Amino acid sequence: MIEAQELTKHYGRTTAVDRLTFTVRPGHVTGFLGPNGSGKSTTLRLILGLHAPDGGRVTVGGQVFRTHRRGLRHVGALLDATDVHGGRTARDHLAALAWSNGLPRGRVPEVLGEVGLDNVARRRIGGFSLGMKQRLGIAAALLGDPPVLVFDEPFNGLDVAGIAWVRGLFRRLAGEGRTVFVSSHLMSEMAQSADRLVVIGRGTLLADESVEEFAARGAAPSASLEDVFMELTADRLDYLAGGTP
Amino acid sequence: MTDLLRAEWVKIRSLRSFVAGLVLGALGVLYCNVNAVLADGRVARGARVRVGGGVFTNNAHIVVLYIFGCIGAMVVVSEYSSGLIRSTFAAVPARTEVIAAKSIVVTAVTAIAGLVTYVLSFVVTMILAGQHRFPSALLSNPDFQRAMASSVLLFPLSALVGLSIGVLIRHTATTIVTVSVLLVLLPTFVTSEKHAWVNDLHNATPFAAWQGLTLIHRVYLSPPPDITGFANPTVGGCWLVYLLWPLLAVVVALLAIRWRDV
Ligand SMILES: Nc1ncnc2c1ncn2[C@@H]1O[C@H](COP(=O)(O)OP(=O)(O)OP(=O)(O)O)[C@@H](O)[C@H]1O
Ligand SMILES: [Mg+2]
Repeated sequence: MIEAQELTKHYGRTTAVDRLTFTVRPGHVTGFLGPNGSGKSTTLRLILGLHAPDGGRVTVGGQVFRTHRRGLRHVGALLDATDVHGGRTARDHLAALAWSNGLPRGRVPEVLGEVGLDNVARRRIGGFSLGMKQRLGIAAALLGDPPVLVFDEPFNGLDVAGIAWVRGLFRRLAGEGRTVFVSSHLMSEMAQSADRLVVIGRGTLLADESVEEFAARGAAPSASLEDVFMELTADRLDYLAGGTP
Repeated sequence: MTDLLRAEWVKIRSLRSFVAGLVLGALGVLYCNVNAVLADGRVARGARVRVGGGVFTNNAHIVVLYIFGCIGAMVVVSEYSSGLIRSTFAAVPARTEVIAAKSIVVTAVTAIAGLVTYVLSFVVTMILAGQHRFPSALLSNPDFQRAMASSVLLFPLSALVGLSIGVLIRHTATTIVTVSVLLVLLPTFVTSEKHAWVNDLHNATPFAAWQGLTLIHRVYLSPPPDITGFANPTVGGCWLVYLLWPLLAVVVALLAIRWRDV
């Protein structure tokens, strides 16, 4: 369970997250959607205590994440697949994370096998493709077998088989009763992966509901989820190709 | 805490650049000391190596301040520049503990590097100077012991100061420049034969403290003329500088890490 109340974050004059209140429930894959620059990554950094909120608060399992001494058993996170040191091998990277949380060393080969990186375990991460780094990031998130998992754009760089595998993984994790929170700026991606949606625009909440409820917002009965999303966020776009609408 | 020490040790051991840095630093010190002995030998063939001259050279300690300051800085700066720091703090929200663990591991690794380097340097320079008997008298000489200890401890001192600067500045280039200015350039620029306080400031730098701790030994051999008329650093004062620099550096790093976004 992730609960945000009136969560607010400013960067200089930009308000990245603006009095955001939502709840992410266990047992579901919850999609976190919004246009570019709407504050998704910022919200995830606030959840993990990497950035401090200027107002409001966010708790995971009822507790502010920063108050834990070790995090991996509480929340598994993939925020940015490139948040790794290219000079280390995949195995050493995960070993350092495992040791830091007192996890059994055997978890490293286990998660490497789970994400399909076992045959490159001894290679330096610097030589990995983006898709391989995404898999490594997912492996790191799984290390502590946590009840809550948070992913920022996990589909970036994955091939078709990889995307299908990640979708299956998310469903399995949610099926085990875990909280799975996945950000994306592509509705089409979420339509096939998520059963609940949190939608934001310019840092404010636009929707927090099931996919069915979200689809029912469509004006025309034939409207796709993507149509509804476009309609909902139309007046909250910061970055538009071809100038102002 | 032992879990974090282990994690930080894995991080250091698994990066070629750190290992290369340690070796480079050791070779630099050896080069400076050996070079001094060879030059000495040429001037006075067959002369015994003076403990204060051959084995402990100024140049070697400039190498230590710079290279080990940079190694300490890179332990944190490499995490910031790669973004790894976010993965680290998402896994361990207790940031203070992470920096404490880094400081302890860096201290241990660089102190061992210093010890190995100086044992090697001592053996090599003794052999080059034609000293074949085991120098038991020298080894039990308290002045020699002090010079040796201060030289070895300059390794972890430099690394901890570098680490702290890395935590505060985070950016690679700026950090390296600051480390060089603070540890290497400051003692050379801050000197005065007129103002006592400038002289005190100079004596408060790690390099001056190291010189104090080894010079005192040289004084014992041949007292240098007192040019400035200012108070010379005392042994206690020098050790205090050795204690305060890394202590303040680590305290500042531990406090700073809690407040800033990463
Ligand atoms: N560290 C930072 N410093 C300054 N501004 C920031 C910082 N991080 C985010 N911002 C600003 O906050 C706003 C929200 O950014 P954020 O990265 O959270 O968006 P996002 O929803 O993840 O976008 P995308 O879909 O492109 O990933 C943007 O205007 C961005 O420029
Ligand atoms: Mg983002």
